[in-house]
Amino acid sequence: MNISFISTKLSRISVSLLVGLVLFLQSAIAQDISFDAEVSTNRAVVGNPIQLTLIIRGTQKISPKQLPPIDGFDIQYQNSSQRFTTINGQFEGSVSFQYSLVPLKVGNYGIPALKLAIDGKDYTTQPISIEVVDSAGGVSSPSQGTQTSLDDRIFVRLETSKQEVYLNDRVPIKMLLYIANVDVDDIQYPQLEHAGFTVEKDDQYKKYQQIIQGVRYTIFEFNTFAYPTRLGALTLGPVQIECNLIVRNQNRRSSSGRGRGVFDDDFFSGFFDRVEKRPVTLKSDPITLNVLPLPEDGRPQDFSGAVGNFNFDVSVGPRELKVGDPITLRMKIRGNGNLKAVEFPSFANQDEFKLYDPIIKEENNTKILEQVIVPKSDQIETVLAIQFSYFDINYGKYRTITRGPFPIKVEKSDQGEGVKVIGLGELATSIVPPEKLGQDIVFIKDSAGTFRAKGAWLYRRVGFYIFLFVMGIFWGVAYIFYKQTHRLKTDTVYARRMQAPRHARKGLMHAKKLLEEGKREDYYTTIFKTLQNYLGNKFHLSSGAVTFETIEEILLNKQGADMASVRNRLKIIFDECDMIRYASGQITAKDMQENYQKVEQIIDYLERHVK
Amino acid sequence: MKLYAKYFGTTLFVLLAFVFTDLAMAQISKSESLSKFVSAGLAYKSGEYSEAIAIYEEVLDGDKESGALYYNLGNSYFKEGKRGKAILNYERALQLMPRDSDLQFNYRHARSSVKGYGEQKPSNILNRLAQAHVQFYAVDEMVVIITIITLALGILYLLSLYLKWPTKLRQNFFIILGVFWLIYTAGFILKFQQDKNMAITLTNAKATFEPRQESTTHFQLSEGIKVKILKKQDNWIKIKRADGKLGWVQEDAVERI
Repeated sequence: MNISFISTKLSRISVSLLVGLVLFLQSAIAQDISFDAEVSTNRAVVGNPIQLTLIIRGTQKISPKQLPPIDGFDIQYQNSSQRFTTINGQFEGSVSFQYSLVPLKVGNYGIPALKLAIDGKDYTTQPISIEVVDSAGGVSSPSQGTQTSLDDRIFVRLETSKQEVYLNDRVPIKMLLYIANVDVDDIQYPQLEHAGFTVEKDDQYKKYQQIIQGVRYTIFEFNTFAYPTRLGALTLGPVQIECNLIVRNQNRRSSSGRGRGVFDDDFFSGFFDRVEKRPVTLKSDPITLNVLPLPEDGRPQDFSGAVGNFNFDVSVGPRELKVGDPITLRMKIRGNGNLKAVEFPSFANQDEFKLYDPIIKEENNTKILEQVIVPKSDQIETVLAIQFSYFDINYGKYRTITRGPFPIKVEKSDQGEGVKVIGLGELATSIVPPEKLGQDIVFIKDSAGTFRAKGAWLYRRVGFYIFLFVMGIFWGVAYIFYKQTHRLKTDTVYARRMQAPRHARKGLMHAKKLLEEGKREDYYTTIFKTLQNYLGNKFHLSSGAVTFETIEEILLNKQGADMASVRNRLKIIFDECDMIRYASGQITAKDMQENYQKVEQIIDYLERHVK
Repeated sequence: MKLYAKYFGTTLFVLLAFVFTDLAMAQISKSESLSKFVSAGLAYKSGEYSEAIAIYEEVLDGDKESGALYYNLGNSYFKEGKRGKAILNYERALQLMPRDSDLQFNYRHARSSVKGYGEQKPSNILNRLAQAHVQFYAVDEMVVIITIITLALGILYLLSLYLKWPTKLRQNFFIILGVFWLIYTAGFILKFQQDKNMAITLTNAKATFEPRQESTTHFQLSEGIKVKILKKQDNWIKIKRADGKLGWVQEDAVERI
């Protein structure tokens, strides 16, 4: 009862949680509604279906719509799918409807703008144009169902917002990699051919998606700036991007087994992985820029080639000091333009100061010069004004910015007129790049470990194979021994046959003893028993069944050159054994000796020739 | 019978001679190698990296090697600024002591400064597991493990016969050991294939389309990049970069691991 109470309570809690979650999701779903149409490709082959997907974002309360007839296509509704995504903590629900469009005729067709009314408001898609071609019309891979060539699915474009630029002008460049319906990996930074231009190097890129002509492309956008250094019509590009296409190899199994080694690299690298990387190099079209010379009119004397839009600041400090004390002169040029080519204006009253080498650094569209100057006498009252001129690209004319003069007060030095040897001030030390920690290797080892001959791997040593061979021999012996003992225990016929010669040997030895002692009757009894036992064991007969007739019948079926003589000798022995019972007096010692030899020969012959 | 004994004796002698061939080929003794190792270490500690390199190389010329020797040699080359040689020796050390944490750190550090195409990480989980398995063991360790499993299989089979184990018990033993045997044997073959004919570039080299000085440059190879040697023609070598690109480099631009 307790358990059912708890489970009822739990189910109530879970139901209320579920309801709460659904309500939360409903309320959290973004309200912005959009309606888009996408096709799997813009180039289709007659008879091969392409897919049209209608995506409604921002709501899920939509049921599948019947599309109006579209010229040139047979339309079939397939399925719908719903999706929740979170964007910056906001839930967005979307619903997609998939339709199969079968192209019926060759030509240029279009999917018109589709309309949808949601909550009394109309939403419209962009029209999409589709080229339908015959199957022979140069389509790359009809078997895969995507009828476009690779060039339509992955390509590179080079774009700029300006066509006419000034020398040294800052030209924004976009290098765009478009990818649709193809898997790509290991995208390299674009290589831009830029003869006549200086190009900034920047490894940053943006990744986003965009629907173009109904096809969803993933776009990698690499932004950089180019600065023309020559006049006239200059070609920028093409831009080249290297990447690896991920190709699924469906014929791997059949191909790996034909005409290749079993342990080929490809087999093992492909053992777990059925995709293959195929490197491709993509090239864009180049673009042409018309580079204009900077106007001669109004060009200031001190103009040094700075083009763009700049701010110029100068600071001098300290202003009150003694002869020989350092002053830090700081110039800062900030703005958009080719900062690398921008030169700082020269310092005017150079003779009155001792000048130290300047430190110049550049960061975030700002170029800074820091220089230590030391007044040579107490007569100096000012640091003269400093002028910086540049060509303002926005207005198409030259501008000059003047900073200063800066009044200073120099007193006589306590230590006389001698100039102090000074280092760089506080400002200069701040320019030193930040210290890098932990960028080195771990120290060497004191213990040498175990030395061995170079390349003496275990599998290359003969000793290893001898060990394996010896172990194999041991195993083989143990196995054969087991098999033998097992058979002797379980196979009576075999066991008797195996034991036959051993027993016979024993019997013969005993008979020989009796022969030497001259015990005639005992000898014949023993020899008969021995022969009877031997033949019984050999041919799996009971002792009573061993008669010359039975043995003769068996031996008649056996092959052997001397089989007939064996049968004869056997008959003589059997007869002799019979005879001893009633005519022992007729048998001489010589007969017994011959009899013994015959038995020995028969057993030996049968052992060697009858299995 | 005597004749057999004579043949057996001769055969055994020849086999034993093979077993101890390693010792016969070595030019310097283990104690000599050790004393050179220590004096090279002293040179390294006093910052005499080139001297340390010379002494470590003497040990290698004397046909002796050890994981720590390659590691220290790698360190010395790194300190001398020869990144390619450093990575080459770290690779050789990894073959002997693959789980050494200092070695792994230094190897990663040396490789982090190599620009361009390095080895690519395997894309799927099975491949990653296989790589982890292969990189965890030295070749000799794998051979020992496979041998032990094989012997265990043989001995257990005999035991099961002599002790008359139930069929089910016997089957379970063989399935478990058989799976381990397969895993390690496949790992060994994979490792063998991967390590075969690998080389490190010793300079920033250009790979050309053809084995000729005036041939067009195909791609660049940074110092310290691992490549596979495909074939040799005169003093040119055909190599394959990790991304699959093929090209020809001069013989002295790369060294086999």
